[in-house]
Order: sequence, then structure tokens, then C-alpha cells
Amino acid sequence: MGKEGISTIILKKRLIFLFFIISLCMVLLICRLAWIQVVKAEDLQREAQEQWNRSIPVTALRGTIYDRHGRVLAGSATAETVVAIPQQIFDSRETARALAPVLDMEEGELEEILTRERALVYVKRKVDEEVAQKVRELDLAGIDFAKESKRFYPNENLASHVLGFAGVDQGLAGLEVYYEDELGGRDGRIIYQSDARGMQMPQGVQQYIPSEPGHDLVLTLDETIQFIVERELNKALMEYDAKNVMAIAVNPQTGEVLSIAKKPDYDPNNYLDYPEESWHITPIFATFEPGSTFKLVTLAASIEENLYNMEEDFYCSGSMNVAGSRIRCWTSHKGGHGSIDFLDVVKGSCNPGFITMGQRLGKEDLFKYIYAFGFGARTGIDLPGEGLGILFKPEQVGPVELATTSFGQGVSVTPIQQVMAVAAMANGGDLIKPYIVKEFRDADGNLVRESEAQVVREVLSGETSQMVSHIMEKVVSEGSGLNAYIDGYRVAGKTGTAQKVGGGGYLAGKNIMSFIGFAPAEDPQVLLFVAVDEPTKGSMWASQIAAPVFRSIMVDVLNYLDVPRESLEEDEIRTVRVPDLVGSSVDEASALLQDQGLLIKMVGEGDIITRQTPKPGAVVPLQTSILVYVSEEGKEVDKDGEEVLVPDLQGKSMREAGEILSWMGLRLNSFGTGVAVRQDPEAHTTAPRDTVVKVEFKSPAE
Amino acid sequence: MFERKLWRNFDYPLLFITLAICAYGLVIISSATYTSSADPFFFVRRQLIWVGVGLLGIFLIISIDYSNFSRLSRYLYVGNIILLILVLFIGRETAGSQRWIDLGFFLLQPSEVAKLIVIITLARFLELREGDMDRVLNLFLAFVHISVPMFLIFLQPDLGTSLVFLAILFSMLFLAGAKIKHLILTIATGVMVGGPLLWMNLKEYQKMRLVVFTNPELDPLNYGYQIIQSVIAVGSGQLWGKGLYQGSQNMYDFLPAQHTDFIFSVLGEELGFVGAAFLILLYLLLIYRILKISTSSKDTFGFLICVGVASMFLFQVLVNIGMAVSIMPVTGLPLPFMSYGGSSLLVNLLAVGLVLNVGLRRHKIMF
Repeated sequence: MGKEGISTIILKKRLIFLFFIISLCMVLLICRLAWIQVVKAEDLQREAQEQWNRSIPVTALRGTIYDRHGRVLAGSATAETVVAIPQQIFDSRETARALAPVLDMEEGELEEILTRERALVYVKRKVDEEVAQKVRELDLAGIDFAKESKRFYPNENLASHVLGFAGVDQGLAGLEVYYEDELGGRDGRIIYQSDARGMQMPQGVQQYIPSEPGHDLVLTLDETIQFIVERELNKALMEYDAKNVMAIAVNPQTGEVLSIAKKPDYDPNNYLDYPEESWHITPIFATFEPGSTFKLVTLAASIEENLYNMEEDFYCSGSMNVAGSRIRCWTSHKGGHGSIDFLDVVKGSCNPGFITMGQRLGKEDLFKYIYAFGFGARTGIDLPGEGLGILFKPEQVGPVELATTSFGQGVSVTPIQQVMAVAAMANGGDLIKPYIVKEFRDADGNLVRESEAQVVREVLSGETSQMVSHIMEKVVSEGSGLNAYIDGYRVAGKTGTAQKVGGGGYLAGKNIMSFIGFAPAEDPQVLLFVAVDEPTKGSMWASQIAAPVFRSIMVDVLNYLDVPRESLEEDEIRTVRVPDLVGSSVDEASALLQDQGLLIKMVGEGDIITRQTPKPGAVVPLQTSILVYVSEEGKEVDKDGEEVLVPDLQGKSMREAGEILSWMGLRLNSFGTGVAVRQDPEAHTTAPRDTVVKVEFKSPAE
Repeated sequence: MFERKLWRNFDYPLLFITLAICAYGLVIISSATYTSSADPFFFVRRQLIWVGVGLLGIFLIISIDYSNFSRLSRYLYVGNIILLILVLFIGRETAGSQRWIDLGFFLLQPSEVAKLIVIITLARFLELREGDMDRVLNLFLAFVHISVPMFLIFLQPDLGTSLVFLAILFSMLFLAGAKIKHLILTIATGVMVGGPLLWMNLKEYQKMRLVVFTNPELDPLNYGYQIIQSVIAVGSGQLWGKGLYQGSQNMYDFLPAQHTDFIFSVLGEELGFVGAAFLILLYLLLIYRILKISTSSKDTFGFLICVGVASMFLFQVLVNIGMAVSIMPVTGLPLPFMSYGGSSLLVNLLAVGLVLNVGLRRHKIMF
């Protein structure tokens, strides 16, 4: 190798360098091989196996949801799904033609499905048994079945918000989605092995991996209580023509949820027929300004901090000046509560009284208790979509904010937060976590997991708790909660009226009336919260709207739970003397009746009461309805005219309907029992005197 | 026609290694094609015949002093071009590219032959300019020399084979004394100017192949599929392999082109890391032997032929195995002596023959 210009040595070096590069490349290849064949080998081995395993899914049977006494609330039935293995179909057109009439599908659509380039396709999911049988009889190559489960809700609308619903593959709302993992189980498969072309391998093993059924849920919910609650809510929805009505019932000692309901609701069997908003679990999702029920927080905090003496005198002039703003009491139109004591402040729900209590506590202590009672934090209930509520930030709180917060304005809470806060006042002072699933059981009924009462924190001492209960009992037995009073039971409670907030201010005529209470006061078994959202008929007072609903539910629930009725000292029915309401406005009358334990039922259009039954001075049992006729500018019923205006009877009882019609000189022809749901001639039309009005009554549960 | 003493110079190890790789290839081909036709040994027999033909070719080629090829270089070059032009017109079209000329008994692949011819003609070209390769003009002319056949092959289209030419060119230039600075500059400009130019002229499927190897999951059903399947097959072979004829990915047709381009994947699956690494070592040994012979060649022409052959093998091994283990794009280059295919096997054996020829007529003083 005689070279000029470039030396042999350099060439030698270059050759060695070339060989070095070559060796390096080879080593690199070997490293890469080692990475794939040694390090990643296990994964790739699995991937290889998965490639030849093709499987037909076997959906696991979804767990059943039971109420606390084992009554089925949501169940599953197996259903067959028709599947196809496209590569095993010889003639897709012929197969499509054969299947089309049986499955009630288009031939073209079927052919498209059958020719998809996939190992397995669903042809039609969850078909009826007879359809599956017909397909089976056709005996088509490449057509097979997979078992799936189909959800059903035997009670239809009952507890729909709590249960939610499941779609084709998974839970989509309520408990169904919250406990998807538990309910869903593990799907099984029928595995066969196939080569790259999808043909079954001759030696490919058929393997059956059974599905694991989901766990059953046993709820704390009681179907009967739920039924009672929903029946009364339906009635209220109709009677007050409200936007929403809702209720929560819990055991305040344990946090077990006995019922959560909201009307209007939906049927989870056909959930798609209802607007999406109706699926919301409003009682835990929505936030509202609590109004007077929030005063209980101020009360409890004051007692716990030794700042409350029920015998201390207080003077309410109807309003109070706070840092230059005049904050009014609901009694301002009649010059305030006047000289009262602090027990009357609570019984009469006096705003200036509570402002004073709030001022004595001071911003720090009041908010300390608000947070301690669980406001501003989610309760952790096992349902999806819980709301948080809004509180003033500490730096935002000036004297006015402190004052309004003391009586429940300017804060926003969820119903469930309100419920758990009052539960802490009822049960001896512990804030507890609400829960709705008591037990998880496997398919054989063995207990897998059990929920237990969980104390979040101790908020009040036992004495404070007792005192709050005692005062709340007074509210019901002597104060603004009289319409919730139940003979023979010691019911504790509080009304709440709040105007809805919107567009930067309060919305006129849009109110939420609520009532929260528990019974028996000394050993609470049930705590119940009722809210009527935007009622449009009747008197806009919580004592007139929410308290009676609370009472109706509570009476039946206490009876159902066999809570013993105490015989009170006076073993007689409490009575009231009917006041004269003629000439006053509905609002004035409601205020007047606030502490009396009488209900107003209105007919007619207008605001001034022109007629009432029973007459003033009559002595009637507590919670008697006083029918009043209202009209514009106090015009009397035109008794002598030929034509009368037909009254709106919806939601009235048969007795009330008869009474009202007789006032008008009309006659009643009734069908059915319960409350009025339909009438002919319709309301607000005119009819000649002595016309027979046909009214259909229906039980509100239907 | 042989002088007896010439046989003392015959490099038996090189022939032995070559035949060992061929035998290895035959075993794997038999596994790869076992289930694909009625006669399970159809492909093995045909490949075996080509090994025989190739051996005959080796002896034919070593019987002629390789210096004769140097003199015939001009005619070889012209003949090569004619063949490559011919294939564009009368070539048989398969899978979108025209690569084969039907000779009745056998499909000739001119691009395979072209590699060998270019090694010879380029060696001659460089020998003539020995000592002057640091001149840019000569460098440029060398490029022109190979770009004609390379471009014709690119037109077929056969991107993989045309890239082999670049590998041959650069290693031969490197060892013909070109300035390293020049080579690096050329590569840099090539990448910056030639790269985009090449990219614009690529067919869609070629681009796809180049792109998906970096992320095969992008296109799991086409080119990505081949890579994914290959990696799964190789990986599932683990350390010792699933055993011959036991590779599920091979047997059940998950692997694409398992007896040609993806023969290495079958090897990896059935004989594992041990079997695959062994093959790579055999190739390293093969190249080592070739380079060893190059150092003892009596002239620059022989020296450069050996370097060209070695780099040709290296590039093909690197690209083919790299593709099977997903570090190189899918280019469709066969694995030397392993992949099923007559033209490629014959040309590779002839290349070995050429190297043996150089070794046989080595410098007398060197020992």
C-alpha cells in the first residue's frame, strides 16, 4: 500500500476507528436487544398473549340497593346482548338480512356493524329474552351472546335523587355513580385464542373467567319514611304551587340519613325523559340563604360562651341601628316586639335581639362557631355533587355583616349543612358526618364493610345542647313554630324565611320557607328539614307554609317509628281563640297568627281579607285552618250578582272546598279522596250562581 | 488456473463464518415459513439452492484475479446503469415499486447487483485519484459517480438500497484519504439541504415509515403495526426464546414479512436474546475478518473493495436489526445471508468472494 500524500499510519488509524465505530454499533444493538428481551420482556410477553386472546365480555351483575329494612330500591336483571365476531361471519349481507327483522334494525346498519374491522362488536345490547331466543334459533356463524345486566327501579320515582341511575355500562347519577366501584363488580370474559386474522386457533383454549358481581348496598334510608316524606312534599308542591320542595330526615344521634327527597323528581327507569336539572340532588347540591333557622347557630354559640340569659330583658323597637344602617325586625310594621326577654327573642325570632347576641359574641367567636358547626365545608355525605356554600371572609366582616350573619342573612349554606349543624345541637353537641350507606354486602349476603357514626368534632357541651333543645321546644310549643306542634310529642324546631338572592339583590316574591326541627326533644330520633322554594300560593310565611309540612311528615314518621307519645300534663287538646282577620292584609294576618298556631287558607284574588271561617272569637283546636276570602281593596263576595268568579281549589281538602264553594254560592260535586287536583269549571272563570263545580280529589302520594 | 500456493492465502474463517450465518438463516426461514404453504420446506429448499449457486459464484469469482475487475470497471459501470434503467421500463412491479427483472428462471434484482458493482467501480475511481482525495473536486466527482446509480434506484422506488450507497461512499472516501473536515461538511450540508429535498420527494408511505418508528403507537395498524408486532415478538422471546417453531407471533402471522425483512424478529422470538446476540456477534466477526483481509491487500483497489463490502454489510445489518427492535425506520432492507431472497443472497456471497479474492492475492511481503 504505497501511498503518497497520506500516510499509511493515518489510514491504519482510520481503519481502526472504523472498526471501533462498527463494534460500537453492534454493542448498541445488543444493548437495545437486552432492553427489549430482558428488561421489558415480561410486559411484551403479556402483550403478545393479549393479542391472541380475544374475548367476549360477560358483564358483572350490578349490586342491589336495599333500604335499611332490606326492601329493594334498585335491582338488576340479566339481559342478553347480541355480539358479533366479524371475522367469523362468512356472508355479512345474508347474516344482516336474517337478523334485521328479529332485532328490529335496518339491514344496512347491521351490515355496517357486522363488517367492522374489530375482533368483537356489539350488535344490539340488552335485548329481551324472547328476542335473544329467536336469534339463538337462527344459529348464525359469528353471532354470539354476552350476558349483561339491566337496571330497574321498582319504586319508580321514590328516592330517585338518592339512588340516581345507571346507564348501559355504569352508574351516572346519585349512589349509582358514587358507589360505581362497589356496585359495578368485575366483568368476566369468555376467552378464546385467535391468530392475526381473527380465526379461532385450533388449539386455542376456550376459557371462562366468571364475572364478579358487585356488592349490595344497604342504605340507612327507610323506604316508608321516604314514602311519607315524598307524599307530603307532593302535596305541598301542589298546594303552594312552589318551584321546588325538599326535605332531609336524619337520625341526629348517628348521622344516618333516613330520607332525602326533592320534588319535582324523575323516574330513574326512564331518566332520559326528564330534564337534566331534575337529576340534581338539590338538598345537598343547592345553596340558599338560611334566614332564621341560622339564628340557632348564634343562639348555641351564645349559650356555650355564657353570654345568654333567657331572662334578661330586651327591648325591640322594630329596627336597630348598626354602624349607620337601619336593620329591621319582621315586626317593624307594628312597632317591634316591644319589651321582651331573651327567651322571647328566640321564640319571636327577633332580629335586633339576635344582632345583640352576635355583637356580644363578636366576629371571631361567631365565625368560630359557624365553622365549627360545619358551615363552609362539605359534610362528606356519600352522594355526588355536594355543595359548599358561601360565608363572608373574615376580612369582609364589618359590623353590618356581623349583624346580618347573626340572623342568617348574607350567608349561603346547603340544606345538609344546616341539618348537620342542628343535629349537633340536638345530640349533645357533636358534629357528625351524615351517611347513607349502612352496609356493603357481597353477592352471598356476607357483610363486607359497615359504616359507623363518625364524629367530626365536639361543638357544644351537653348542657348547651340541652338548653338549645329546650329553647327550640319552646319555639314550637309557644312561639313561631306552633304550627309544627304535635300533641303528645316534645318537638323542637325553628322556622326560617329567606328571600332569594339574584341579580345583586333580593328578589321580591321569591322566598324559601324552611322549617327545621327534631323530636322527641329530650332524646331525638328524627331530625327533619323541610324547605319550600318559591311558593306562589298562600301566605309567604314559613310558619304558614313550611311548619305544617314539617308537622305532617313528623307525625307520621314518629308513629311509624313507634316513638312513644307522652301524655302531657294537661290531657286535653290545646285550643285557640280565633282572632278577627277581616280588614287586614294577608301579611298582617300571618304575623298576627305567627304565635297562635292557626293556619290561613286563602281563596280569591287580592290581598285584603274580607271574610273568614271560623268566625272571630270561636275557640278551635290548635292548627285549625282558617279559610279567608281575599279580594282587591276589600270587596265582599258579591252575593247577589248573577255571575260569580270560580275559586281556585287546587290543594284544598274536600271539607275546605265545600266551605269555599258555599261562600260563593256554588255547589260541590266531588270525585275521589285526598286533595283537589282538578276542577270544572276552571278557576278564575265566571259561572252562574248555583253551578255545580266538579272537583277531582286525589291522594298526594299518587 | 490456480496456483497451488494461492490456497495457502485462502481465508477459511471468513468462508466459514459466512456459511454459518447462511445456515442460521436457513433454520429461521424454515421456522418462519413452516405454516405458510403446503410444502413446509419450499422456501428453505429454494434458499438452499441459492446458497449453492452463491458458493459456485464465489469460486468463479476467486478464479479471476480481481485486478481484472479494475480494468473492466468502465464497462461494469455502464452495464450497471443500463440494467437500472431497464428495470424502470420492463421491471416487474410489486407492492408499488419496480425492482425485479424476470429472467424466466429467476427474478433478478438489479439494485442488489448494483451495490457490488458500485463498490468495484468506486474503488477503481478512488485508486486512480489516490493521494488527491483531499481535493474538493475529486470529492465532488466521487459523489457524481455514485449518484447516478443511486438516483435510478431511488426512482424504483427503493429508499433503503439507495441509502446503502451513501454508507459505502462515505466509508470508502474516509479510507481513501479524504479530509475529515470535508466529509463532515458534506454530511452537514447533505442533512440540511438534501434532507428536506429528499423529504419532499418521498412517497407518502415512505414518510410514514420514517416517522412512525419514533412513535409506533401513532399508526398501530399500518407501518406502526409492523414495528409494534416486531418488538412484541422479539420481547416475548425473552432471554432464551420460545424455541424453534414455537414462536406464537411468528406462527400465528402477527409478524409481517417474517421470512424476509423481519426474519430477525422470528429469531428474537424463538431463540431469545442469546440467539439474537449470537447472530450480531457473528456479523461483527464477519466484518472483522473482512477488514483484516483489507489490511493485507496488495493494492489500494483491493483494500477499498474490502472496506466497501464491510460497510455495505454493516449498514444493512444495522438498519435491518434496528428496524426489528424499533430504533430505525422501516426501510425494507434485507438482513445479509439471513433474509429469504435469491438476488440479495447471491450478491452478498459474491461480495464475500470478492473479499476472499483480495485475500488470496495478498501482498507477498506481508507476514
